[in-house]
Amino acid sequence: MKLNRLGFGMLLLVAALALGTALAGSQEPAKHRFKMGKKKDCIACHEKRTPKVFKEWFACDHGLFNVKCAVCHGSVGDDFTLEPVIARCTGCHADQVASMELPTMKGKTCFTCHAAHALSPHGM
Amino acid sequence: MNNDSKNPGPQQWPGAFPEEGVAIVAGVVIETIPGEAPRVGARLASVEGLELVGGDGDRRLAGVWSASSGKRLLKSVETLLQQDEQLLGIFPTFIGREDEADAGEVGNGARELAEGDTRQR
Amino acid sequence: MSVSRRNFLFTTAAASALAALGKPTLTLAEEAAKGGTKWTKGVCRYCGTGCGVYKGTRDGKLVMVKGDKHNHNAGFLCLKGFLLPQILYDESRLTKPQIRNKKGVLEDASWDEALKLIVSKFKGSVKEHGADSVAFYGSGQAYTEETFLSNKLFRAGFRTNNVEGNPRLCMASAVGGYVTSFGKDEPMGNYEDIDHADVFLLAGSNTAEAHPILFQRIARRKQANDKVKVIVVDPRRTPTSRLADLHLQFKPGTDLALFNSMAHVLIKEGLIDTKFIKENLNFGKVKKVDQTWESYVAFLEDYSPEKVSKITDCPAEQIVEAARLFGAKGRASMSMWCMGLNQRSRGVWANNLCHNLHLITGKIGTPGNTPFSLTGQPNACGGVRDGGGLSHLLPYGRLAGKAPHRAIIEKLWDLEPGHLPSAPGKNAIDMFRGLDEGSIKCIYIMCTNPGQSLPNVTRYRNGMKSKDTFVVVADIYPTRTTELADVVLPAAAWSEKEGVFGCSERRYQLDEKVVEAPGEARADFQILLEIGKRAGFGAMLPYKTPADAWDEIRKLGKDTPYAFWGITRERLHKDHGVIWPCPEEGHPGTPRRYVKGVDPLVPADWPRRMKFYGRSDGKAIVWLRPMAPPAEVPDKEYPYYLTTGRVIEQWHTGTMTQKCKELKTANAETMLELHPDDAAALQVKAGNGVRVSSRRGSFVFRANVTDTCPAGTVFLNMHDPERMCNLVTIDAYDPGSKQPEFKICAVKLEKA
Repeated sequence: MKLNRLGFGMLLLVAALALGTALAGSQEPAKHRFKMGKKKDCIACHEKRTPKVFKEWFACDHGLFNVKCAVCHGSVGDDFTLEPVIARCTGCHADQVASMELPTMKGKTCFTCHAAHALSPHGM
Repeated sequence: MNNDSKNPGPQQWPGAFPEEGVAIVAGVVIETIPGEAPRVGARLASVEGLELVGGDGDRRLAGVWSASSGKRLLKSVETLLQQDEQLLGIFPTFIGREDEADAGEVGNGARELAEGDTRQR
Repeated sequence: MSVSRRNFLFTTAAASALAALGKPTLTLAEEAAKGGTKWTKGVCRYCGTGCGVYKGTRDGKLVMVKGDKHNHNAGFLCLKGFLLPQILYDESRLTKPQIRNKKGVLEDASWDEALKLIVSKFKGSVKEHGADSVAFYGSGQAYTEETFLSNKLFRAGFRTNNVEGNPRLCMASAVGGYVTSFGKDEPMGNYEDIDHADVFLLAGSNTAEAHPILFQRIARRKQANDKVKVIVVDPRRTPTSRLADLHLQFKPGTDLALFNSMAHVLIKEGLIDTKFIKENLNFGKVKKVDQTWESYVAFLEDYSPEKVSKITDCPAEQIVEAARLFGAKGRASMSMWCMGLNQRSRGVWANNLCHNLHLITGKIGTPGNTPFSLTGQPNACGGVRDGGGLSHLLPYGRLAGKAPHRAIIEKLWDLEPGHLPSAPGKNAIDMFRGLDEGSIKCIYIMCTNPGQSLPNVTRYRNGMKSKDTFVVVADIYPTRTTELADVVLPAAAWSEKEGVFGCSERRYQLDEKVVEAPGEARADFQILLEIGKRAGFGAMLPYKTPADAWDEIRKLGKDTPYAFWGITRERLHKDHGVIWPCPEEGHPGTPRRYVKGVDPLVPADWPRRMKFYGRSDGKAIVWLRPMAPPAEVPDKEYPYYLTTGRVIEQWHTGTMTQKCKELKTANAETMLELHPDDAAALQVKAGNGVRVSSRRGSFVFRANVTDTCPAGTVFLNMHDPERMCNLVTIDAYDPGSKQPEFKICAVKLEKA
């Protein structure tokens, strides 16, 4: 059984090329992996489960100013997004979001230049 | 190597990794039996070098895997696939080497940003 | 290999893996950003920072909010502000009036039925039991025009001074502090002082969570200049402490000694401004201004850092260091405080002692040098404090108990001399005690939630629930108060009506209407107007809209230190707020009060650099206030201190924030913050239930084991409607400000 399954796994690896965009092209909305029944602060889990992400966020201005997970990623319900839609930046960075319409910005998102979570400003 | 970080798509592990002794950071998508991703994710939380960064709540997890060499990384992938029955495959979405030799993989001015980002509070 | 390269690789790898998972869907807000959205200027609905916003509407719906870059917040909003549109659209919105039927169940009714019942009950009660048997309890979240109207309706119409508001629970001690120290209420500085300050003293304020945009401005100041120092004075370690160069963690309630000790050090080390002291200060004790500099110095002898460190559990070196930082010559010092000083049985004293530090060092009235009280509600300052919506006040600094002040208002309101009631009104706690004890029969509660927010709330819930009282609540959602009401009125929410907000820095700004209220909901202004007309006071309320009332409100402030005649409605529509005094149209507003050459109310030939014109001699008062313990301290039976506060994701009683899907699950449960040592002693693990009991009540909260508080002190936040900290808090209040001591009481803990 184990060998078979390993074989299957390897098969998938090989098949991945043939699959083309099957994985990336999925239109299903992303979901938060765990239900948040206990009304906790996101950080309560993520500080331990994704320590690197937490540390980067915590050390940057967003962390210092308490711009917490929900602002960029939405709730843990239907509107949860793993990769933030840049419209969510509009609340505080309206001009910058509007500038993404410029031809020079074609194909880019905020996160092309500002590393996710650390969100280092230009020139730093 | 994949340059489009927005939509990288699944890939095969490359035949030749950088020479031994060069540390590797890989973005990976982990495929599980449908519906099992959260439980597999919980088990993977303790795997050394692997940090999960997200998932679809159903059958896929996204993670970043760091290893001291390409060989070690492949070895860990194989071991994991053997150990976990609900884990179907582990696909690279990005592979970067830590010795900064391969500038080609960094696009869109992000490299300059990365170089300059030394701010620590 | 550099750390930055590793970070970069990790981030890129993570982004690529995440991107491979699938495409996220767009939310309403994200749709709005795509264009075709109409943007209208307004003000944030939440705290007293008063951030400017633009409201994005599309197809008659509010879809998005963004920061106003031309306002003081420079386009930034905190995490609650961005999510504001959702507070309008939860399906539980109240859209029809409700009347409690004979079976005790709230039942839909028509506006006509509801208003008829209200007017007959209130008029009947006045006739049978006198005018003081009815009361109004308003809010620092109501617009200035709404507070104005309620004030006129109840004081001039029903003729009672039982006109009160929830700012009694949050700002009354700050009012008391400013009035006693400087002669007039309201801070003298403004937010721009943050950009000039070299030292920040943040006392009893979790600025990072309660006033995030001001915290951001402080942090930016510190980031830009590494010589900037931040002193945090708080028994609890909060996110605000992250910015602290020095965190004075002291035993709850001992900060009076701490401030006196800082003054002691300032004097001993010569960090004082002798010229300023000589020219600008008087000295007082208890209620009399009969002390001298020498008696003040002698009084402080008792507060050496060594001695005070024993009282406060705060190391003497830290007290000395704080004083040296604050008093350093040639550096600007700004103090900011909030509920930690105000919600205390000696809140006014705590405020006075903070002012003293500025007065003896002369660190006042120049850029970056100012004592600045932070406000918790968007219009506690503009509406209730300035507008006179507290029982002892009349509009714009006048007192209900003073005949000459009443005479001025009678003239302005075209009333017969002697028409306004002289009997003092009841403060918030006494008002709800009156409801419990039977002296108050009818109360109209607008835009606030006392069924959750009053301390020792069980007692007052009983009073509201009683069959002998008639309680009207106007609100936008069902709350812990509407569940006690006899009549519930559906109110229009923020953005469904217009009005003026006045924030912490004396900035008056207009919040515009952009969408229609749902169902039969009506603006509070219209509801009060209709009640007034039906009660027979129509002639004294000749308005149709809030804008109609604005000129009368400006007139009420004319020739007072509030002087905002220049802030016309047209200007409010156009400008991004104006800071008063602004005595004439065209005046730019006043960044710093009491300062010659800056404040138009200080005569040009005044001989000194500041005139505290609230006092006849233009001098401020340094008060000799001794250390006094809180109303309740731990003992054998109740061995722990309980302190209360906030989290950034929630606001007040959660009635709005818990309607936002992002915030519903974020830090929404009130948990007991318990020190690991205390948890071990109680054999409690994280997540276990702990029964928290005081002499007033008890409730089981789940434990969050953390060292944010020192052992022996536990913390609860105030937001959760299902787990109310106020079941245990104390309703003792400051004898001067009548503000209750939410911040400190004694409790016992048991594993549940």
